[in-house]
Amino acid sequence: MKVLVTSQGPTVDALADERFGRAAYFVIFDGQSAEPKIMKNPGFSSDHGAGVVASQSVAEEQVDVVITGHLGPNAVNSLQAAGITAYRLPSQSTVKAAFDAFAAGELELLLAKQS
Amino acid sequence: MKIAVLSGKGGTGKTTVAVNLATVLACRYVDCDVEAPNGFLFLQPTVESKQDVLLQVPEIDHALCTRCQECVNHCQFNALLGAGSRINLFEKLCHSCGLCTLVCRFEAIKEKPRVIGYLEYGKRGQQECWRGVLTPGEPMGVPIIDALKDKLADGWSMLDAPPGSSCSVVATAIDTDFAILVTEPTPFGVHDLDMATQVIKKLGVPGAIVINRSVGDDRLIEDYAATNGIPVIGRLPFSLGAAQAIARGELLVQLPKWRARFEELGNRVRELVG
Amino acid sequence: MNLLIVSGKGGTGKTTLAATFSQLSNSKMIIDCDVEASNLHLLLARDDLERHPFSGAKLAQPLDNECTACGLCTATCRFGAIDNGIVDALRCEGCGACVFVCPVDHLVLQDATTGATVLSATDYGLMSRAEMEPGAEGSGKLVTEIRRQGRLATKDVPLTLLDGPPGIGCAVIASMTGCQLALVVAEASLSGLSDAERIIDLLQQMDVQTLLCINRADISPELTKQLEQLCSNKDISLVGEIPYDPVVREAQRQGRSLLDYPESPATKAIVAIWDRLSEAIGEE
Repeated sequence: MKVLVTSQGPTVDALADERFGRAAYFVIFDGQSAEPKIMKNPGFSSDHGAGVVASQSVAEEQVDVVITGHLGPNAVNSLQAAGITAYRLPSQSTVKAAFDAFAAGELELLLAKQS
Repeated sequence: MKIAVLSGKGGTGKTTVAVNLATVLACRYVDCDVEAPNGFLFLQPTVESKQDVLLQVPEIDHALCTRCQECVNHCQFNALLGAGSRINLFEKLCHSCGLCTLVCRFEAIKEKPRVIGYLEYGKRGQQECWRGVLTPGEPMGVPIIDALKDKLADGWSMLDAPPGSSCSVVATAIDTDFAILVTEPTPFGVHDLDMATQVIKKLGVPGAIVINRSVGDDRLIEDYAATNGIPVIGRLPFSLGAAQAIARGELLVQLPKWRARFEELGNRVRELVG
Repeated sequence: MNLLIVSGKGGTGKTTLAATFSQLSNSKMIIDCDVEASNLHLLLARDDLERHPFSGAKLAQPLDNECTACGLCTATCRFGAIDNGIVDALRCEGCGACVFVCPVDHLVLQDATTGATVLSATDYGLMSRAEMEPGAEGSGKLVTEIRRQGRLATKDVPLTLLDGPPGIGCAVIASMTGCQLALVVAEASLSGLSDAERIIDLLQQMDVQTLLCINRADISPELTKQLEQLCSNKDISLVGEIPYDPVVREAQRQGRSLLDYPESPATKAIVAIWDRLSEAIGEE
């Protein structure tokens, strides 16, 4: 399972980003590998429709779960279309701490996967 | 003859000038402030017709679509999403450029109209009144302004622009013959006047300044006008009575003193635009 | 906590309130989201600390290749922005349709500088703001960018104040996202009432807790009554009414803070509104 945390910086120790569409970075944890993949969010610098671009990129990475703060209307619809589940970030959390909290089953569901 | 009434800042009295000046000039009033169209509150025209403003957006035939993603990749506005089992449209992001219909090799994209607001036409006595109204939550006012301007017949039109200096202001002021810049004698006023001035300079539209809520000392604006070579063609004094009348939605030209002021301003406008 | 101060229409006194709140609160960051008519810096900013060019749009640009004047771009463009390879930058939406149809690759889409983001120092903290090129588009992205610059400049501030843009378009929506609380500044006038209704609908759609105050309430007691009615219909707390007060204009003309006029009725009303807001924020 691939789990993505929206991040303000390119490390696992960076603060998680409350935004989804305009988050600076995506940190993707993959059960298969020890090192997370860190990528820039293309939505961040997009002139229009950041939530849609971000979702497109998340779907291309075949992510199953997104952990973020807020989802705008475009992001909600895009993630639903892509069949992705979202959980709410704990407040003021690092990326690593957010992932650990998710793994421990402590996070609140933000968006259920559409079947 | 199209005259645009602009103000870099909201609340400077742009609508007050536009509705009252249109009334003394007995010309058409056109409310292009589609996000907050308030001119009709003052003019109270009898509305004769209303029509929707439509924007063409893509409609994808999922039977023909191969999900090749070409349309998704080409859309500069990210209005198309290629994730999941089919291409999804985010219609509020669509600028209706038609590029997706051109790039689709499978003829899977046609267009369908979508309502983003409406136009209203009415009359106040003999005076024609138009306005555009953007549906709340819709992000793009420009197509409504364009649709509104398409409706205008010959003769004089007074175009009440949105505040600021964004694309909607440009859409209002472009292809007009003259611009009236409404400002007030405060540091905010000068700052925002400069934004409006830069818009009309870019568009090559000549203009003149009206100082609203003048308290006698208008040097701030006069200095700016002199430096930038724009004439000051009117001063409207600050008056609590006027503010109260405006708050109630009344036309100032119903008060004799104010009627005289606007007639004088109207004469200056006539002299300048011929 | 993000507190947005907003009004459907310009000139309601929103910026004056935002500046005064910035002085009264312990907020170390204020963001001027009214990017198209940014005025807050005229009241608060001392020095500009940082300035970054900002690109909020793309434009079609001709390359050196020979244009064959085939007319395809002109026929394709729905915005009337191109005539045989010559681009009208003010009309171009940056959609790229002309680039796609050009048979000789004469055209390309390029980022256009549409403004600058500016970080300024104030006497009370920092201000993140923007300067836009006249006629520039894309203010939703710009609002998001100055909000990001604000977050980068101040880690862990308990309260960020946002001065919102007028209207109900994309810049307003970009200002509202992620705000927990909004204060609507409504003017006691017919225009003020209709604009307040529109902005409240949008805030409620976006799930932002909304409070309302009435400015220049005594100019029209009838409209003030109607605004009060609006609050109860929409289930919104009315947190104060500010009387018309010539001191506000005078302070603005002099470039001074309203707090320099502590006895003025408007100042007293605004201070009282701040007290009500602090309760809502939970700030001591």
